[in-house]
Amino acid sequence: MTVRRQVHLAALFPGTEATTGWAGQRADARIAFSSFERLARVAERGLFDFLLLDEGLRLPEHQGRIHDLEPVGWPEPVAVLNALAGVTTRLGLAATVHAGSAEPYELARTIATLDHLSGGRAAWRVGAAPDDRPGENLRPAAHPDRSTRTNELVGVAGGLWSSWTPDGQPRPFAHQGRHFDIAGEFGLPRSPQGQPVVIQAGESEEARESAAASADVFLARHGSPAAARFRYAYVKQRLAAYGRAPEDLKIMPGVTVVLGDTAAEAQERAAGIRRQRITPQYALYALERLWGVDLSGHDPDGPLPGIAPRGRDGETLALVERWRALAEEKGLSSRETVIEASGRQSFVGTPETVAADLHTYVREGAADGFVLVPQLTADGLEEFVDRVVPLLQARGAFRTEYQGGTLRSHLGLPHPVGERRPHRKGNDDMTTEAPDAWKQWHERRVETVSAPYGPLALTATHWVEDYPDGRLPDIPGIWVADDEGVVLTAAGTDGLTVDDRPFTGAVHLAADRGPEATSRVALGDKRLFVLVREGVWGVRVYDPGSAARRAFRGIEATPYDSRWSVPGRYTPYDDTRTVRVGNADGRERGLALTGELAFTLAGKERTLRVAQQADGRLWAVFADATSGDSSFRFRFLYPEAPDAEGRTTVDLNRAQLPPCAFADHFICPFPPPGNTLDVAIDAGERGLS
Amino acid sequence: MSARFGRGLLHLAAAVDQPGSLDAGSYVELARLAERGALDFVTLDDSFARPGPDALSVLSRVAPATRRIGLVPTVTTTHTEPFQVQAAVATLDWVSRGRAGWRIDVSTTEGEARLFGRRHAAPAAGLWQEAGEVADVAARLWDSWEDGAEIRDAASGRFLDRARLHHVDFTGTAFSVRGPSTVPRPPQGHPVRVVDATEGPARTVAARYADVALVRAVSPAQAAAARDGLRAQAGEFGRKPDSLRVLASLLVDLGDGEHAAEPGHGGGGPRPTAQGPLYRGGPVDLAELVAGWHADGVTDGFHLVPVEPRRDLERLVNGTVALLQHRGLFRTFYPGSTLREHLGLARPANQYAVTGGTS
Repeated sequence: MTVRRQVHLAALFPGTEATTGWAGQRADARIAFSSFERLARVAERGLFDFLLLDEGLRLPEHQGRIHDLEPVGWPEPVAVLNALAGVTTRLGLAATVHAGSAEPYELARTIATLDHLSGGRAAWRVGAAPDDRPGENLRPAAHPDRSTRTNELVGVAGGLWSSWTPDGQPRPFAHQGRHFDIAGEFGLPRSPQGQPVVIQAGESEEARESAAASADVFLARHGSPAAARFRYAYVKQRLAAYGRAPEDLKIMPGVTVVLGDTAAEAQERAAGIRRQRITPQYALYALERLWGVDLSGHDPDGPLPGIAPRGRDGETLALVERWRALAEEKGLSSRETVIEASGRQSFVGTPETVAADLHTYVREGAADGFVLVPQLTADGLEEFVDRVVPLLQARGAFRTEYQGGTLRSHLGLPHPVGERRPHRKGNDDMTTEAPDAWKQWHERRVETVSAPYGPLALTATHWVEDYPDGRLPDIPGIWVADDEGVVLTAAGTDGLTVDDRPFTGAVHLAADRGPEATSRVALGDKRLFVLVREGVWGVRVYDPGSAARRAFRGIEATPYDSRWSVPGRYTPYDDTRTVRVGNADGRERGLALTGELAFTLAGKERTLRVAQQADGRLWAVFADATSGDSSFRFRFLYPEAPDAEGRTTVDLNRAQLPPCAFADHFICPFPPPGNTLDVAIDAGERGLS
Repeated sequence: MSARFGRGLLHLAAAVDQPGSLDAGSYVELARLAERGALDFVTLDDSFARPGPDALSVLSRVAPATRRIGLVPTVTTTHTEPFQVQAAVATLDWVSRGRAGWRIDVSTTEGEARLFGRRHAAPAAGLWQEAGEVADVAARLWDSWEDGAEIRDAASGRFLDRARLHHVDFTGTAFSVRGPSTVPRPPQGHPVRVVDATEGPARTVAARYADVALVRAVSPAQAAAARDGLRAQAGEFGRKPDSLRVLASLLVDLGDGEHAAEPGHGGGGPRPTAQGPLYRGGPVDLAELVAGWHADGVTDGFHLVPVEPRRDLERLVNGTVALLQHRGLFRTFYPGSTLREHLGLARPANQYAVTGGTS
């Protein structure tokens, strides 16, 4: 099947790029939120993949003073993008955060927050400004060698983003590397798009390698079609070394576009923009930068400086030589030479020729799309959206509506469901990919349940109110519950530890958040996990030496069969409904349900009542015709987070045993009324081996 | 009794914390509810020590969905970059068009320190000293661009008037910053700095740098003493005491009926708990308490933290606030548009401007 290559489009809010002009705008045009809002709305109207905002770490200086000729002053990008998430619904939101100074925990947290609050539209552009000079405005980095910092930072951030289990349980992380030595628990579950999109840039060998290894989007410099094709093929073929497919990385050069009704008019406008930007003062500034000397007495409308540049390196000398030749050949003044030689726009022409040129780059394997850098003002983007986007659509090269809700879906990137590697490449590949993904899922499950403090290690759940004297069976210390938690009183001889230190005295304990291995109180190898259910406080004992864990031989599961994976549609209730259901411990407790999941199975439309979890995934407790017979009495299912239309996949191959299948002391809810399917689901986890 | 300065306007703020919630819509809803009550501001607490979203990000998200209410996230100063903290707070001020505040806090636990791995947990006193330095350098950086530094002068080709940009050259005990900021001076000049002044070391920072101090008091006498102490200390730092608003911070549980105030609550005043003073009773009695304390001049207002976010905020706005408005004790609409205006605080002069004026 031939798939037409689709163009991806993004917009960059003008930063300090020399392509930006500013004369004649309102004074706060660069900083007022309305400017960003307008640009974002235009980009979304144009169905762009994302909007990218740059970060500033310091104001540029020239000859020891703050450079005053170019626009500077810009907001902190993440805060602006969060605000933009409130005035857009689909547009991807990308923030530059520089790798030279960012700390992984904080970086991962802010980008993940943006991703959650925007419903899966966030991206991090890994900034690598050569001129960010940490130590001037920022605390000095822990390790002076910054060349390896970026890769480590990207890796650690990815680890934090996927540190919670796919089904929404927090897990501790620890990382010890050259630059970072951190441990703890990440504060946010996986995001609606699995992981925020990572954008890398740069022309160096390291930058390309790094992008091939882990980035989702590679921001490249614009070049001729031949150069771009070469680079495209070069970077794409690197992906295989990292177990990635070529389409896992989108290559998008940053470009400028100038339109006109005729080719001549477009050229004239392009030249006009360059003239407007390169003022006499700016021309002098450009000369000073190249010559490396103070030229404040030089006449910009006179010839190029006659003196030799200070820099004797080949690059400087060659460039000066080229400018002199250009000025000589065309009889240009200093300023005219700068205008002629620098700031050339990437695509200049009528909307028809520009659309054709952009499409050609993508069709011929020179780019996957483009990041547009607006000329002069955001108005340039509006013109592009109104005049070029419809032509790209007419060519079948650009979407006519957003297909999904997340940035990953716009970019056609797989949703990373597993620990590291994406399992699902798209529907076409389901037949070969899905069984492998299922195997990995099954292996992970076995690993999780048999972990030292997994469900098999649970040997008791004590409800404190059942023991008025405060003495729990087989556990030392006095345990007394109050409104806010449990007060534990113990003597040193009791052998209890709190926060991994020997404990004497009294301590007030709130509910442990999990995972179990990190409970505050321990007794030797045993972890004593404090929990609360409906206002009743309890203590769970996890013993890695439990009989169940020692006896565990595996989970009996039926291998993947595609007929048990069907599309589903989730319809939320207006308000959460709480039903009382029996629990495995014989008590009755409330089960909060947020909606219904409808799907067709064995030729019949069926529904399950489900709860949507904090990470967007659904949770169903269900029974079927095999329950209590060839399968455990009931099972859990965690379908993926539904999209904006409520669509998700009901994959019963991933039906899993509830915790109470592994130990008697869990209090799993039984299926609520209506969740018993009258079909035999010979799929997923069935019982213990 | 200490001297009173007469009764100023009543100021009310509410917390919109919803532990663990990642749903932008629910925060927007609570902030809009508070805005319907014409409250001065909402707070959103934050800490690396517990799960949940970044508070400044959440309130940035809320900004375009609200029009008048002040937005005050907690931003900690221990493991963060002072330069970037001030840039983020200034940006919140820009995206909210002058409604940003910043509740300054520190990270004291070893658990938080391990998330960053740059330094060990330290005693609160040292961390608060550093927080004071961050509060100080933030204001300098906000002033490092004078108003109108962006000139866009076509004739000279200059975008900036660099004479109106300033290096701050700040050297503190744990960090140094050269400046200027990368963000132009925020709309309020200085976004509102809020400090919970209950704990000792934080009190000095509040007296010296805060525009709003929160104090946890269980009785009018305790609130009055805290307020008098802070105002006196502010005076010692050369500040006008009236440039500091002191709000009593109370947990409120309005779940127990329309009027009934439990013994030891309501009419009897709040009860001390581990989380701070707790008022439990009905919204009407809470209005009595608010009006009473304020009439006695013991507080400039209240920062109310609902125990049950949605339920209590709704009862607070539709019950307590409505009653206070009915009695003419609280505004029914926002006469101003910035948080400083709600609080009756002037836009500060720029410490670097030679003329001392602002454009």
